[in-house]
Parts: sequence; structure tokens; C-alpha cells
Amino acid sequence: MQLLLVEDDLEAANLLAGGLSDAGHTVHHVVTGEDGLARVVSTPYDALIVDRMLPGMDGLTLIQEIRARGIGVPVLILSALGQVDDRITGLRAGGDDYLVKPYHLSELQARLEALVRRAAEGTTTTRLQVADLELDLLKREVRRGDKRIDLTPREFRLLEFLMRYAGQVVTRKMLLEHVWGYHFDPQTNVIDVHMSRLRQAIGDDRSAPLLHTVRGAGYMLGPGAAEQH
Amino acid sequence: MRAASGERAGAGPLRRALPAPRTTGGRLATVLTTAALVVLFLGLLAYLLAGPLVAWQSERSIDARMNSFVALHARVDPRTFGGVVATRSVVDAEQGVEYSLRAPNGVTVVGRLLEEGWAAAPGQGRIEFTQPDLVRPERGPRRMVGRVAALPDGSRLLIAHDLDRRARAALAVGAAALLGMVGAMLFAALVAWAVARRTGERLDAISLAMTRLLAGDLSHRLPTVGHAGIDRLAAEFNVALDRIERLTATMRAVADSTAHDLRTPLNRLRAAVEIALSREDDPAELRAALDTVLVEVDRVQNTLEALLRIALAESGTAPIEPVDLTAVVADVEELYKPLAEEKGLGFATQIEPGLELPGNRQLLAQAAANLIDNAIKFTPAGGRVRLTAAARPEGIVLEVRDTGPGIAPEDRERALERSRRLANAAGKPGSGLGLSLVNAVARLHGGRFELADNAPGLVARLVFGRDPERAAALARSPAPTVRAP
Repeated sequence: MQLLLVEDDLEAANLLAGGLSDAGHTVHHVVTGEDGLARVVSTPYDALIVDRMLPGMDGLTLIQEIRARGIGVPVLILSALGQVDDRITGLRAGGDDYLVKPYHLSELQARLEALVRRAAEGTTTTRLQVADLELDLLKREVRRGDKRIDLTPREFRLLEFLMRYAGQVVTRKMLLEHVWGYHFDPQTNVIDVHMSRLRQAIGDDRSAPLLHTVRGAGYMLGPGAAEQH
Repeated sequence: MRAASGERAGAGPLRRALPAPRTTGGRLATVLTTAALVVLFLGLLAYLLAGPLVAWQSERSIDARMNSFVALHARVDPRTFGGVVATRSVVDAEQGVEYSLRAPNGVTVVGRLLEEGWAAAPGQGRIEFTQPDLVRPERGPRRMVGRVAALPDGSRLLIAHDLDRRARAALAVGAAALLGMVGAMLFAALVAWAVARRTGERLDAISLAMTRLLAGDLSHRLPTVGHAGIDRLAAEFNVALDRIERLTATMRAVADSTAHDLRTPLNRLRAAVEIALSREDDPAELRAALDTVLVEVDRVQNTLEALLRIALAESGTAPIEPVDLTAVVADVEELYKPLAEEKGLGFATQIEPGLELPGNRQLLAQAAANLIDNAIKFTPAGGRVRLTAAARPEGIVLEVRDTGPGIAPEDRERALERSRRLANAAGKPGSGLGLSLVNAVARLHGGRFELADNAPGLVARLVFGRDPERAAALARSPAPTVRAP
């Protein structure tokens, strides 16, 4: 992916750009919102990573300027402000996701990939399929091969989210936010228990699992072994 | 740190913005002084107009007297008439009115003090003349105005006024009135000045208190000065100060506990990094050391997150909206039920439908989650956790009962404070800030959080009062925002 990073903290930017390059992405880094805008207008990026606090034109203004020009590139906002209304203002300004500093590199990568995927696919899908696992959003039905699988509404949403981002790492934080609507971390890893229940429900086989745990990052749905992050 | 410097920076402009002292009393004094000056001016005007006014009024009064005497003359005989004139002459002399009656033969019968008048008025009609004061010659001549009337029997009557004397009398009355008015004005001005001074002193006391407050002594309160209006204002101000002090204390406590809570993991972090640096030749050990680093970094991050959450709840700046508590609790129950079952705990719930209150959904959910999380964490396998949400007479009650070790009565207070991990919490995951957050969330919603004995185990109970709308509004009264640096 070709990414633009707008961040005035040089040290943080170098670490982040390094991590993203290692993961195979091309990263352009600029320090000011003005430079960011100039870049976005001239170059088609897959996604933007924008720090909220920037000297001169701040991150939110930059995003508004980009949206005002009709550019729909996915934007991930980075911010030290983590309160609920800060998140809302960020998303309202035209950001697509909001990540509070300090964050894990794996968290950022997972979200970035999810954003790009979402932008590419749109939301018109009514049927999701991963290997022999099928999920029908209209009938609200899940099948694995010929077998019909009964899920609670929450399990259905959980599986839907995992299938939407199949082949990608989704973090526990992402699941809490999108499946439960919580912007806080429970003290105990409750998500893990839900995942093991989901595993049982979809009849996941230990020898050839669909739902993988990615150590130190989260989960991934897809055939084959999970890559270790 | 940032908050402290902001406070210091804020003191300057605040002090500069204070307007020059202008008191109600001072303004009153100005108004009264102006009024006194106006009265003095009018008095001077009256003094200058007094002469002409008195002359005009004298002539009218002479005309009136003359008419009544002419009428009398027609009714009585000349001797009686002479007697009446003589009597009136004596009576009215005090008012500066003189009479003189001349018989048809030209002999003055009554009033010998007006010879000059007779000389000036051989006929009849209005006359002006100067008459030497025969009674008190030292006073000099008198300016007189008068009228002569010819009576039917041929005698003539002269009635004259001593202009100076009447003017003096009028002026004396006017001056008395004027003096009275000016005196009243001066007195009022004096009172106003005194009031202004007292008000000023009262305000000075308040101003002094403000200076001390701005200097950072937030425990100081405005004094009661014995003036209903000012005292009410001071009382309201003191309430605001109570809140500011509490918030400042909260911020200070957040800063303190942040420092305290972060120091330990940061120390461990440093040690882990040092170990990692010394093990660079052994990849496995290096990796293990870096894993430790990651765990400690996560711990720092969790603690920071928890502290900021508490600060958000305590500052009262979290957005408040109508919350369906039934749904919030049901969602949290659903989130934790598998965990409880996995641990081999009995998990019973009883959630009443239709529980609503104004609040912050995220914080309420987190409070409920923390209570259940705690109960599950500390209750050994085979135990029971019971979650109840219900409307009771005292308000909406959210209760989590467990059969774990509980918290000793003497430790319950401390369990709600920040950074107080009780002895039996060692080795359990979590920042140790879970119950502090619940406590802060309770207060944000105008409710209370209490811990009790479940014999055995713990009862953690959140009570949101009957009038949560008002309570929430109270909690949301203007307050500084506590934010991440």
C-alpha cells in the first residue's frame, strides 16, 4: 500500500514509517498539514495517517480540506486526545478511524488494512464467504458446508466482522469497538472467551482451523496458518 | 504539570481583566452631590428673583387690603373707620405694612410715618417713595411701594409696603428652606459616602480574599460581611470555590497517582531494557526480555488509560445523554457471562426492564463491567456471582454480589481510592483502579457507590438517586476539563 503519514513528531514518525515499510508498505512522511494537503492532491494514496495536533494547519482541518476537495481516501487519525467526544469530532471531520496514542504498531496496521479493505469493498455485500464458511446478511444465516450454524446475535456480528476482514488481523480493541460498541478495555480479556465459543460454534478443527489467534495482536479468520506478527 | 503552568499563566490576565472599582454607594454620592449643586443654583436664582417677586406680590396684597378698606368705609362711620385703620396699622407693622389716613382737610388722622408718601402722591393711585425710618433711623431710609385711594367722604387712605423688609422676610423663609434642602442633600451625600466606604471595605475584604485565592491558596473563602446582597454573592462564590478546590484536588491527585502508578512499571521497564541490552548475544533471552518490556509498556498504558477515565468522570465533563441502563447492563452481562462460566462460577442475573437515567453510556458500561470483572476475578471456582439492576425506593440500584473473599470493613474506604491495590489483589490482572472508576462514575451521575458484606463475599452497590436529572445537571456544572497532556 502507498501511505501518507502526516506527523510532526519526527521520532514517532520514523518508528512508524519503519514499521510500516517492514510490513511492505510505501510510506511518505510530511510534517505539516499544508504539505500533506499538497501531497494528497497530487498523489493517489491508499490511506492517510494523520496526527491530530500539527503545527499550522491541524489534522482535523487537513481532513476537512481533503474531503472538501472530494477526495475519499481512507484516513486514520492519530491523537493523544482519547475522550469520547474527541473521537466523535475526529470522525465527524471526515476521519474514518481514530487511534489514541500510545498505540501498538500491530493495532495501527490492522486498522489501516481494515480501512483500505472497507474503502475498496463498500458496504453493499450481502453474502460473505471464507473457505466453506458462509454468512448471509439478509437471511441472517450462517452455514459451514451443508451444516447450518446457530449463533446468538452477538456471535453473528462477531463472525460478520471477522469475515469482512478475513485474511487480516483484527485486534481485540477493534472487536470491542465494532461488535460491542465499547471504547474501553475490560480488565480481563473477555474477548478471548467469546472467541473460543465462536470457534466451537463454527466447529473449528484444531488441525485445520479457520479462526487463528495472532500472538500479541489479535485474531484472524482465514484458511491456512496465521502469520506471526 | 501542564495544568499547573496553565493556572499560573491564567492568573495574570484574570487580574488585569478586573475593572476599576466602582461601587453603588460611590455612584449614589455622585448623584447626590450633583443634586445639591442644582439646588444651590436654583436657590441663587430664587434669591436674584426675590426682589421683583416680592414687589409684585406686595402690590397685589396692597390692592386686596385697599379694596377691603374701601368696602369697610362704606359700612362704618368715619371714627370707627379711623379706629380700624389705626388698629391694623399696629398689627400689620410687623409685616412691614404701613397705613396712613388723611382727613378731607389734609390732616393726617392715622399713621404719621408716611409723610414722604403723601408728598409723592398728591392724588390717588400707585406710588413709590423713600421714607426715612422714624422709628429706627439707624436703619436708613425705607423703600416703600404703596397705593392711595380717595374715599367717598373726601378723606384718603394710603397703604404702603416696606419692600426691603418684606424681601428680607421672604428671603429668610427661602434661605431657611434652601438651607434645609442643602443640609438634607449634604446629609444624604454623607450617608452615601459612608455606605460607599463600608461597601468599599466589604469589597476590599473580598478583593483581598480573591488575591489570596489567585496566589494559590484555594482553601481560602470569601468572608461574610453582614450585607445580605454581598453575602449571598459571596456564598455563591464560595460554593463555586468549593467545586474548584475539589476539582483541583482531583487533578492534583490524578497527577500524584499517575506519577506513583507509573513509576513502578517504568522502573521495571528500565530494568527489562537493561537486561535486554546485556543479553544481545542470546536471541532467546533477548526475546524474553523484550516480551517483558512489552508487558510493562502495556501496563503503563492501561494505568494511564484508567487514570484518564477516572479524571474524565470526576471532572464532570463527560457528555450526558439519556441512557437505557437496562440495555447497558444486559450488554455487559452478555460480555462477561462466558467468562464466568469458563471459570466455573454460577452467574445469576436479574435486570429489570425500563431502567433509564441521564448519563454517559460508556462510563456506565465500564463501571458495570468493572464490578462484574472484579467479582469474577476474585471469586474462586464453584462460587456465585449475582448481578441485579432494579428500581428501588432509593433510586436505580445496580448490585453485584459475589462469594469471594470480600473486603474487610476497614479496607472498604481505601478500596475506592486510586492506586490502592489491596493485599489479596496481588497477582491479579488490572490496574487496581477499577473500583476508583466506579466511584467516580457514581459521583458523576449524582449517585453513590458502597461496598458491603455478602457474608461471605462482597456486595458492590451503585445507587443512582431518585432525581438523577438534577444530580447529573449538578455534576455537569462548569468545570475545567481534564485531558491527556
